[in-house]
Amino acid sequence: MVTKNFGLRAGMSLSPRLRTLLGVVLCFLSFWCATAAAGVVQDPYKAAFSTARHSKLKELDGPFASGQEVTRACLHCHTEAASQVMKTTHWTWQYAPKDARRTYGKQHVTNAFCGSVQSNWKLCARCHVGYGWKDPEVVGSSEEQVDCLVCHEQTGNYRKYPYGYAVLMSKGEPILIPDLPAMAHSVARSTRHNCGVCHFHGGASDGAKHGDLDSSLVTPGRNVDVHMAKDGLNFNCSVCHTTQEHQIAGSRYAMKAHDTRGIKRPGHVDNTLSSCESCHGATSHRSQPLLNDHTYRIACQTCHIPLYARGGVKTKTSWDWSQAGRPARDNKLPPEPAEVAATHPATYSRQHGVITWGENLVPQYAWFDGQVDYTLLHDKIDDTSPVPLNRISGRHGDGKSRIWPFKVMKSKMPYDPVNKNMVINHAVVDSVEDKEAFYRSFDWSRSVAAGMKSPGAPPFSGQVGFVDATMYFPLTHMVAPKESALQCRDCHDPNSRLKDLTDFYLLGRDSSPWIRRLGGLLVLLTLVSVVIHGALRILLPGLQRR
Amino acid sequence: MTTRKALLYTRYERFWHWSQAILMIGLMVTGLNASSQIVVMDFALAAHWHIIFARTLIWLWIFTIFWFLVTGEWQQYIPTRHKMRAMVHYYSKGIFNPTQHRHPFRTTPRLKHNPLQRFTYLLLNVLLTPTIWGTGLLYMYYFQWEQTGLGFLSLRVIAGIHEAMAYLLLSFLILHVYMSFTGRPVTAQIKAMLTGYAEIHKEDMDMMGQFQILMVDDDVDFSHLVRAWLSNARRNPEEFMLPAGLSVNCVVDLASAFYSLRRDNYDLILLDLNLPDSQGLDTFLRFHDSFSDVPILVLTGLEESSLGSQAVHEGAQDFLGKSELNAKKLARAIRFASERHQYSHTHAQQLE
Repeated sequence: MVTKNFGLRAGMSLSPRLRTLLGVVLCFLSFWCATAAAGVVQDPYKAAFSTARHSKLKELDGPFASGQEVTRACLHCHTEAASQVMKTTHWTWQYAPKDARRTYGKQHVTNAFCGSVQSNWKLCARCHVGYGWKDPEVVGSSEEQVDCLVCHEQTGNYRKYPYGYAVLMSKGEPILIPDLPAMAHSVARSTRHNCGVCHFHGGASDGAKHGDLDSSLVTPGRNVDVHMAKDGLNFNCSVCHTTQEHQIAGSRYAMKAHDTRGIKRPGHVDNTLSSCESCHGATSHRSQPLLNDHTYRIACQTCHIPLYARGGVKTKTSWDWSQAGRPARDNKLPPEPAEVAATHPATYSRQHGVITWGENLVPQYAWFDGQVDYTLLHDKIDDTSPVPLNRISGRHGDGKSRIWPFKVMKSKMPYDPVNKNMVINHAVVDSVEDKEAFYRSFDWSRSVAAGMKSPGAPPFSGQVGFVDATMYFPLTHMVAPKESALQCRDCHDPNSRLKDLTDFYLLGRDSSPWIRRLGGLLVLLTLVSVVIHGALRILLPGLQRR
Repeated sequence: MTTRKALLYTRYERFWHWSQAILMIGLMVTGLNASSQIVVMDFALAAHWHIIFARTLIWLWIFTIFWFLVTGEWQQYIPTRHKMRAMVHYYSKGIFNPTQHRHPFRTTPRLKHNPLQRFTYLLLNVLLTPTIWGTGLLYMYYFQWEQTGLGFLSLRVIAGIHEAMAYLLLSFLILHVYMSFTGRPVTAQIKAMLTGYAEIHKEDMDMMGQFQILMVDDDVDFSHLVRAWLSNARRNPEEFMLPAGLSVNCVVDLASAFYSLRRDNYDLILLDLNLPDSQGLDTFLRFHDSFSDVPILVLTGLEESSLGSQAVHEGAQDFLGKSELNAKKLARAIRFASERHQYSHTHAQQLE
């Protein structure tokens, strides 16, 4: 009854010879998989510089019927780990900005990719560091719900199933239990692979969301990331994203856009290394001291991340949901301008609509003081212009902002044209009985109506429109080697990369046209009069003599 | 018309002038390049060198201001309207007919700049240069504005003024280079600025109503005595009948004498033949060869009267025994020497 889903019953009836052959092939395959995995993941014991080898712990021998049972074994020794994790945004998916009336975080914001986490828990919760998140209230119920393995197991075979379970369930019964004891024995400090499972794959595919985070960073070349390069410094994520009590430094929600404390030494107020300055300081251009003056106003990233999505993995640049849902026979795309098609190839699917992709992209630049505000569901939007799903704050001359590079995602998102607010689209099919989900009904009014029944959602008018929306992602990964950094001319030029930032005077880009015109005229007049005077001095005496 | 080679620009002045010229042209090129008006080099290189040139120029100016103050040469820039009209007239008309018109102003080491130059250079030194430097320094330290309370400044305005001044300087440079070719011969002024020496008209060197004596003697006490006699004599013009506006400069050796004679115009040399760096008749001959138009009175010691007459034979105006000299004798000798010289000078001109 359990095996029927896996089609192995057919194998039962195979002849013994075929069965042996299959066995040999499977042996080879598993061996190949194991060595391939070993090539990526080092001996976790060595990688962690630990005094404990988890593979020797009898407590981790199992058997484990669920992820929660593994967690219980972990907490037997690591007594505080779960309560620490439950205080982090990795667990709460909530973030309280300075304005305490608002609450941000994955649970609450609308993003320019899949829309909302709410009412789509089945798939979205697979990136939660807990098990079984079906509705926001469940989280925080029990320490056993914390998922230790997703961040710490090193076999590379761990998967998160619907609602974030470690075990695949069907109708309340487990139908696939992975080798949890092997995974529990493999635990070590988190590697890039662990972080990448979610952070490289946000936005529904590899590299889709951030543009500076994708699977190429697991073993990047020096040109992709000078710090993480496999033949260079080979940094893990946690070298910079230092961690204390499971609090990981460096969050997009609480960004430090200008770290003025400089190089970190023991005794500093915090021990985080997540800014460039915390290792390099702000004046590290020894051979070109003029550049050190720039760090006051220009983020390191602006020059040192000349292009994003450089690892050979494309990132999503736009997402038009308004095209989604048309029957397959009608899925001819509207014709696109050739230059867009060449640089940003588009894909179409009935589920997702039109998505464009790009790599080696030039960032957009903006003044940024680290504060980001989000358009929440209850906020009234102006649907006559693109809706900023998040807003970068900062301007020239405020004393704290610097110019930062951004990936700007441009999407066409469903919204409520009557009540003028963003909506929750119930896209993911929850169960066999769920006929409302967009991926089954392909009917916007039904799926949005279902989504808007989520707790805390604003009233829904019943109408769905589509509105242009933008979302800013500050770029900070994929730091290029210094020889590939931007050159002065990239900004100090009439065709400056900063041509949209017009609130300050930039040498080489800007000019005072009247001064140039009058000055040029003066120089020209001087030249002309000098030439005439000189010519007269040569010609006139001769004429008079004649 | 007699001319004489005179030292117009000292070594330091020439060094200052040409290094400033190079730095300013460098600043012009790198500045135009950095502001994207011309592209001859990379931006980084332009910005880097613009700052280095600017810093060097500031140091050069610190030294030069010091030099101007201690030498008193700053007085060369005091503006005057004297001959201004004539100058304008000359440049707009007379210059096209060089055989008929002379430059109304003739350069001497004392008055190096004509009224137009005085006016232009003064404008340059008190208005243009300080403005371009002030804005340039502000520009250079732009990143410290906020910390030093200069946050109210606008870079657009500062940069605009800096650039406007640069355009004015460029116009000046064009004009200045052109004007340096208006001498006679055409390259005379360039040559003077390179070598320091220029052919100066003798009569231009004569200061109006002045009679300058150069006393060359390593016996400083005797020089003081002579000076005392002459200053007494000056108070009694009827008795001594000395030329008006007489003044005496004393030097102790041949080298400093030659230097003074090149800088200034002297009407008479009082020469002791035995100097630390030159002795005997040779001393006289060297003076006479180099400055044949300046009358020389030879001063001789007790046993040297034959040397004195030899000198007179070679062209000295007279010789005076030091031991039997007194104020009256000296005054007479000076008067006769200058009159004799004046006579032969005009005679020579008439013969010409």
